[in-house]
Order: sequence, then structure tokens, then C-alpha cells
Amino acid sequence: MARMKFLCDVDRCTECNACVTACKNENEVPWGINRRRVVVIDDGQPGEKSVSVACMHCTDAPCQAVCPVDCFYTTEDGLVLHDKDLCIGCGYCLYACPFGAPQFPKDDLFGERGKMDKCTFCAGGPEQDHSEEEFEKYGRNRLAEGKLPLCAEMCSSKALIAGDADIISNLYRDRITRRAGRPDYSQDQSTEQSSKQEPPWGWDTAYQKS
Amino acid sequence: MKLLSFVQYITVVLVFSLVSACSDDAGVTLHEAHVYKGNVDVHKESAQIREQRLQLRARQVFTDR
Repeated sequence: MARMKFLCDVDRCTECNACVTACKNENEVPWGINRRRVVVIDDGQPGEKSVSVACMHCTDAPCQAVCPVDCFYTTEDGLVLHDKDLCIGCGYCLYACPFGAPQFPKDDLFGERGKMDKCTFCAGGPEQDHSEEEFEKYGRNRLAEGKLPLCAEMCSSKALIAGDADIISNLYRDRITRRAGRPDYSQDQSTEQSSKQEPPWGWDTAYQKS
Repeated sequence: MKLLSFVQYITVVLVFSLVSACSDDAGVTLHEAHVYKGNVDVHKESAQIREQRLQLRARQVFTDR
């Protein structure tokens, strides 16, 4: 059985945040909640990296392990989803998740923390497929339409890919093979600082080195 | 004394009826450790058909450049 996974190719991500916008728009995610975020490492420094992060639908999900009301379930294709009718909004899952995926709305009176919301891999939730309740609680169910998550489908640089783990890992492996590793960039640079920099992606293609 | 007990009785009835009106679902889910007791996620298609459709979709969408 297929296991659905996300993979973000950090060498391709340009921090355009289109995946974030697409997710919010497609699922009508309320203000203050970001099911997906783009995290930039070493922002503004040479060699900075951007990575688009959401729920990674872990095989052994820590959120699922710590939930005191067991509102999480795993689908046959490996998606970690939850039932908002059972969720009590305690926030344990937020502390357990290494990716900061669980989100909590604060639009109730006195800033009360609402029920947890997170990426569903555009698979809706435990309501009837395409029902109003499902859309209101969990967002669009694109998987039932035979489509993959919109964030990945519309990524312009195809940095974010999603789907069957076998397919996306093969795709990524092909990319790595084509890139053929990193050229020895340090030999071309005279200054010490630049010798520590990683070469830009596509360097060897552009300059036909290595 | 009788009047007071009647007023108390009416008050209790009123309070209970008001409080019970606060909830639209009187059902209680009794928790059992590591057992999911939420709604069952029923899909229109079987997992195998969905897998095939999504694999086809992935090959269409992620045509590498």
C-alpha cells in the first residue's frame, strides 16, 4: 500500500510562499492559522536554505502518541488525520510535534484556544466525502477527487513534491543523480569566505565543470 | 414552608432545563487508551483504486524539468 509523503527539495525552494497561499485559499484556513510555512535557514547569509514545512504525516506520529483523547487515526495510505469532534484543544500535540504542525485558532472569546487544525494532505477528515461539514472542519478533500495536495501541485519550481513515497523518492533520486554532486567550488575562489560557500545549484551545468 | 419548597422545585427544574439546553449533543464518548473512537473516515473509493489514481496524477503533475 502506498504511503503518502511530502518532500521539499531545499535546493529548488525559492521561498515564494505560494504553497502557503495555495493551502490557505484552497482550504479556507482562518486567519492566524498556517497549515504550511516556509522556514528559512541562515536568512540573508550566503547559502541560505528555504524549506516548506507542514504536517509530515509521520509513520510513528508523536502527536498521535501523546493525544490524551486519542483523536488521531492513520489512514490506509499513511495519512495522520484527526477528529475535531473528539479534540479537546489541550495542545499536547503541539509540544510533541517536531515540525510545529498543529495549529490552534484563537478567535473565540478571551483568546480561548480552539480545536487543533493541521494539514490533512488535502484528504479532508472523518466526515462524508465532499460534505459541507468536512469542508468546514478540515478543508478540501482533493484526494477523493484523484488530485494531490494543491501546495505541491502548484509549486512553480517543483521543489515541493507530494504523493506515493516510492514515486517521490525516485524522482528526488533522479534529480540528485542529474546534479552529480557538488563541484569543487573552493578551487575557483580566492577569498577564504567564498571558499566556505556552497556553489549555487546548477553551477556545473552552467559552467560544464566536473 | 410548602410554598418555599415548591419554588425550590421549580427553580431546580428550570436550572436543569436551561443547562441541558446548552449542549446540542448529549452523547458522551468514554475514553479508552490508544483506541480511536471518533467518526469513521469512509472513502468513496477503495485504497487501492485511490492509490492508482494518485500515482497517475503524480506522474502527470511532477513531470521533472
